[in-house]
Amino acid sequence: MQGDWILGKGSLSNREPQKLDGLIKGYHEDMIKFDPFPDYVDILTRFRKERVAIIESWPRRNPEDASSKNMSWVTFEAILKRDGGLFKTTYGVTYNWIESLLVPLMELIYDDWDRVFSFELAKIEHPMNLAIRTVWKKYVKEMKDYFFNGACNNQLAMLADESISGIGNIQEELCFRVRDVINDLRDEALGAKDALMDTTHSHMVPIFRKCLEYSKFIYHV
Amino acid sequence: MTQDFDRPLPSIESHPTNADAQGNDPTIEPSQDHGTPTLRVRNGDFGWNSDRGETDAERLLVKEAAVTAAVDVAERLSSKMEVAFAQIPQPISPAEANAYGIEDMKKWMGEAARLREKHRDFTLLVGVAGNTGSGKTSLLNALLGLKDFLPTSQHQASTAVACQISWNHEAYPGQMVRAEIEFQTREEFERELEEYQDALSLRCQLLNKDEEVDEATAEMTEAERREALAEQEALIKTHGSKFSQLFSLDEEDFLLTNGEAMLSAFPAIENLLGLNRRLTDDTADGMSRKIKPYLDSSGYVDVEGQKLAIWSLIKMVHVFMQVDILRGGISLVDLPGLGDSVESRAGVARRFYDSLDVQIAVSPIVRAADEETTTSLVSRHQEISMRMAGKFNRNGFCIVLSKMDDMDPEAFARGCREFRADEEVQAAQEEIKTLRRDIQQLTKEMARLKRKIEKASKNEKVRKGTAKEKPSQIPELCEQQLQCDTHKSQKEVELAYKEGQFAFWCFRARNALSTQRIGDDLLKRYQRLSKVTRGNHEEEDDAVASHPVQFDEVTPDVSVMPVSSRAFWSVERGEKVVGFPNVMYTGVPALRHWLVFEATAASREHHLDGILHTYQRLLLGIQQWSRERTSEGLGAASRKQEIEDRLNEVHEKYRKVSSRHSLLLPLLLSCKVIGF
Repeated sequence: MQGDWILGKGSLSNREPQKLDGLIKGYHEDMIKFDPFPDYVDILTRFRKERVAIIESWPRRNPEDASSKNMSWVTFEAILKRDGGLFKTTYGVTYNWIESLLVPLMELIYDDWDRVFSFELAKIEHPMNLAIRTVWKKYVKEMKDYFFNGACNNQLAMLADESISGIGNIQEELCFRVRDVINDLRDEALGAKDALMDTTHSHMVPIFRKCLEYSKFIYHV
Repeated sequence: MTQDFDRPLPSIESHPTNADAQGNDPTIEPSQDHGTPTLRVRNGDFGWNSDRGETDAERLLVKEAAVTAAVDVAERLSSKMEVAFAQIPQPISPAEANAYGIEDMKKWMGEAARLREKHRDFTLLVGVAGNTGSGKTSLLNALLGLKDFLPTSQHQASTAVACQISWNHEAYPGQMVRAEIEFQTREEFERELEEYQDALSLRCQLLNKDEEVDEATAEMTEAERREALAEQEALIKTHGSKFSQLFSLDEEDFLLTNGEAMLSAFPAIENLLGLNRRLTDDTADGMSRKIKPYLDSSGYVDVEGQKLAIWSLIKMVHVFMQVDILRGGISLVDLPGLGDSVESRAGVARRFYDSLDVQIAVSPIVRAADEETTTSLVSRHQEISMRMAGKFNRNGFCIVLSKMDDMDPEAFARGCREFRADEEVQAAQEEIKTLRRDIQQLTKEMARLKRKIEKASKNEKVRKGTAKEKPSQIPELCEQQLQCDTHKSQKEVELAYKEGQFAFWCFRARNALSTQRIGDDLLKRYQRLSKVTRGNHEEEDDAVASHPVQFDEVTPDVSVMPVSSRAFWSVERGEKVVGFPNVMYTGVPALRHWLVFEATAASREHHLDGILHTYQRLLLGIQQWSRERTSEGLGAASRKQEIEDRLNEVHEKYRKVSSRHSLLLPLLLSCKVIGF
């Protein structure tokens, strides 16, 4: 083949890509191992205990105070009509049943979440960029070696040099994309928070609507 | 005793801004620095690629200028290519098209256009939230540098509608300022009407206590009934102002009609629901007048021959204009509170909250001393959501303590024991007292001299030409009066300076106390959260209660900035404001600086880096392509194609690397897209 003199055999064609392959595989495995919910069984057990107390606190005028009297049925019904969403009273208490149910769960998972998405993910950015730069440097060097070690004439070597210089910026672009990938991963993960809100909402709304039909009776019970 | 009070009180001149306490550099003002820095290419490298000792702000400005230049070059090149394509005789065979490089060029133009769009669409949402009367809208006007652009609560009716302000990318004559108005949907309107009708009906039920009522109502205590009534009254007041203005109906009529029937009777209103309206103007003032009826309850718009209080049907107003702070993708959103009693408005606020990049919560500084300040500014749900998104920090959340000038310095000094006990404060107060006394005495002395001169003048007139005539005393008395006046003026200048300095010390002391109060609250909240995440629920309350919070130890983990918009505009107009010798002291420049060069800087720089790298590749690519197509390059082109074919084989191997590593797939796809 005409171009064999450029590539040689088994050197430039395989070595650096294999190294990059190994590095990316390693980082991929590291990322797979990141677990934002290592103790999810424990978290769920704790949350199950809490949720009963939270739901029991809903009719209370001051939900934080177990000895507080109940709110009036008018307020109770107003919150049901808002599907358990936000209701601000004239006496300064703001109720949001759906949020009150979710906040403790979010607080329980926050520590591990923060560790993974604020620290562990960010920690792999630097070595990944370093690896890309190292592989890139060697890749460019190998290409230059082929063209400048007498394998081709001067005119062609000059043109090849131009081509190689022209792609020098790609490594910066790649490093930039590494951060983008990490940011996207973090943003995608944050979607779990919205999904949690939506799921809770869709489960609770039919219950609230049913409650509304019997609100005064339920309130008294 | 606070740290600030412990250290020597410096002169007012040595405190250019309250920002210095926050570690900011007040000398860099976006409005001054948003010029066009010179772009220099040194040793074949562009300035943004390496650290040359510039400040973050300088580097950011260089990158912004570089992107602007790159967009310009790429646009000019694209236009030239369009012209060149138009000159190619048609029809054209695939071989000829290849020879001309048409496909390459179209691909290049497409990528340049996509990149320009990507840069244009880059937005950093900055939400400004606060209750009515908190000074939120005045602050936004100050940030924009446009007094009274958005209507504030000082003008009778405050903004009740969410308003977003972004950079105008389509600023042409006739539409230098644009606005897009989003009306409520029919469902939202009907739901709100239903809420109003419910409140009216409940009020009737609660008031008719002698008539037959259900068991639950009958069992209510008098206090509960009063409370429930107050709630209904509040809802009726909120909705009533809207519906009564819109329909000119009595409350009883609302109880008897449903939403559908009501809208059918008022087609002008029905036709507006779900609409989007576009307004344009050439000036900010003109646009301010045009959007006012859509934003506050004082204005009416002529719709189908009827004057309608249209603001009540508006969900959102989006203004596009070119002011300095919006450069670089910053988009300011004036948010109604999450707890807005009008569900559709609270809904708009909720829609924004999750996508905000930066949040500013505004609260009058006088309320910062309240126990519940931070609780009302940021709910537990908002806090944990921001923490999970990595935004509950100094660059993601700022508490603005507004109306900093709303204070009587002497009353503050009387009320704050630590401040009053400071020796330098006491000395300053003594000095002010002495100066006031001196001025009073000098005023008396001047009045005495004036009387003496008048008397002497009268006497001299009487004695003139008589034997009793004496040498005139008047010149000497006038000289004394002049000296007295000069002395008094000097004392007055000194007093104004001392009073200004004293007021500044008072503002600074209260700012420090309020900041610490907030820091204290946030620390307690964080400690509670830490306990929850560690699972030590039982010890939580005790630990928080017994934590010895020391003033000096508490530093809020979010930004806290005291600001006075009123003082800002007064100083801007050249008026003298006690305690605010120049605009830097008002906190507005410090907040602008924080927003432009701290809060949004990392995201903006990341975006600019990405755009610049791609532009650099695109422009180098076109440069090389152009050389190949020149007469001297043509000979070597075939050999070069050969090289590139070979290199492509190498690239293909890189592209195939680890395609099974799905998490990194986007990265690998990126490699492919950019040709690696």
